[in-house]
Amino acid sequence: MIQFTLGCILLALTLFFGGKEIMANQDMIENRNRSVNNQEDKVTRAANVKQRFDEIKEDAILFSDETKTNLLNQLNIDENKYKFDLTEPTQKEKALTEYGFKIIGFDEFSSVFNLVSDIEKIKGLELADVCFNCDVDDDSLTQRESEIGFRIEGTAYVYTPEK
Amino acid sequence: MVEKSLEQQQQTNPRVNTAQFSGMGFVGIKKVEYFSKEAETVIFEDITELLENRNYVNNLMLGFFSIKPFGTEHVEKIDSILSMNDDANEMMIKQGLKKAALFDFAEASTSGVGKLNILVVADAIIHWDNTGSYIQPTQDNALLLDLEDIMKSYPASYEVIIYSQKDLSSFTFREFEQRSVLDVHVHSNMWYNQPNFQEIYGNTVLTAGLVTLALTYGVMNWQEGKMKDLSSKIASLQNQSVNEQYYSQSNKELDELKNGLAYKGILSIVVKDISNSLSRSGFKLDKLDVATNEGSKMAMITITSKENTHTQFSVQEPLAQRVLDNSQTIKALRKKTGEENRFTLEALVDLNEVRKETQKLTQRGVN
Repeated sequence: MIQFTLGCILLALTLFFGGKEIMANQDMIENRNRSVNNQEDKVTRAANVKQRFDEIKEDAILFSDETKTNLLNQLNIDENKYKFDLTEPTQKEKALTEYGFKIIGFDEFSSVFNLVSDIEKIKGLELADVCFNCDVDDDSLTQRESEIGFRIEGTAYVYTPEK
Repeated sequence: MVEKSLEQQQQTNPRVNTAQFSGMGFVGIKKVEYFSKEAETVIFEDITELLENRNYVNNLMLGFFSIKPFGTEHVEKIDSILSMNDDANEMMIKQGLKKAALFDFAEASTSGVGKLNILVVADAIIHWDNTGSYIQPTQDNALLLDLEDIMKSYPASYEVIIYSQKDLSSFTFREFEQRSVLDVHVHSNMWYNQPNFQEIYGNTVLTAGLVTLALTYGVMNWQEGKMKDLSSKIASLQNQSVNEQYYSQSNKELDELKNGLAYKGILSIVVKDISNSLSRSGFKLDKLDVATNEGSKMAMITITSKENTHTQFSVQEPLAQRVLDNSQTIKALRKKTGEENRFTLEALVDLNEVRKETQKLTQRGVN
């Protein structure tokens, strides 16, 4: 008799509380499974996005504190003769940023043309505006005979790896 | 009417299968007799002797005959068993009787008229017919006479069945059928301490409860493990996760850079081509301004002559035509108005077209 009563109580309590707990746990498992799937999707999506940038980073300028100096060296620019400005973007916390660059100075037409060609060969630099024989308002630069004033403007694409 | 009601009673009180018991004990007047399944018989002088013997008491069927003495209001049926040993420990006997299945032969009766059952056990004869059951003492030397006395009270037409292990071959008073005591018919109404549903299934239900508890614990344990696994997986994935926003914010720049890559070197070709064209056309150049349009990949080249040259209208148009003819890249050309002492032309160059043409020429060169 006591066994029957105990067994019934045990069965009822186990089925009620245990069942409730098991169902609650099952819901939590399903939620966590969904979270895992979401997280996996997020990782896959982010990896794909990152992959696109990994592919293109060779075609951009790799960010460093020496970016401007490196560009000056690559273009073989004499800062006494040309003025090179690199304008940083307002928002820098992203993988690929557009820096504006502007070169002004005085030189022969052929030298300016060679500079334009060099700029076009460097990965990550894109020309927007080239002006031969322009007015150059900069007192620090001097114009010699047979030299023309020029202005070259464009965009430098700088890749900054995620920290 | 009586027959019908008895018949109905027997139908509602089904026969109990006595094969389920390991042995049968019968309480007589002053003695107790035990019958094993192998038909071995043992006589005890005292009920306690049977109940204390572990070989016999387990799974025992114990038959007794309850008597309600005159003048008593409430009597337990098992008091008939207890009364046979006045000096015995009642509590001990009651405890021992709990282990046995007790069958009260005072409740025995036959279902039909004309049938007499006689059970000869221990020091008593129990007999029952369709009207009731009776017990009387007997002794071995008076057994046949006692049986004869019982049968005398019944008409000769009665069918007599005697359940006994004794040799009754010398009993010739009337025809009878002798059966083993082990074959005696008992019905559920005679079972005094028949276990109820709860008692029968108590252990099963308790076991089921414990098994359910164990299974529930197991399932919950497994679920907790699974949840921990999933949590660590989520944490691991979160650690792996790339700052998607960091990259997705640069999608516009990425597309522009990709598009720009296709036009590498094109602007130099355009400048060179236009310079050559101007030179061949005799254009006295003062200023050349190349401006590109990122979205449409078109370039607008503003060509300005030296001051006070090419000012005559008649010269300007043929000169412009020559510039256009000598150029491979200019798509359209127009005169810019507003400057009177200079001749200014605006040349439109489709950089995409130039790129395609350049590619064709390069491929031809390779082939």
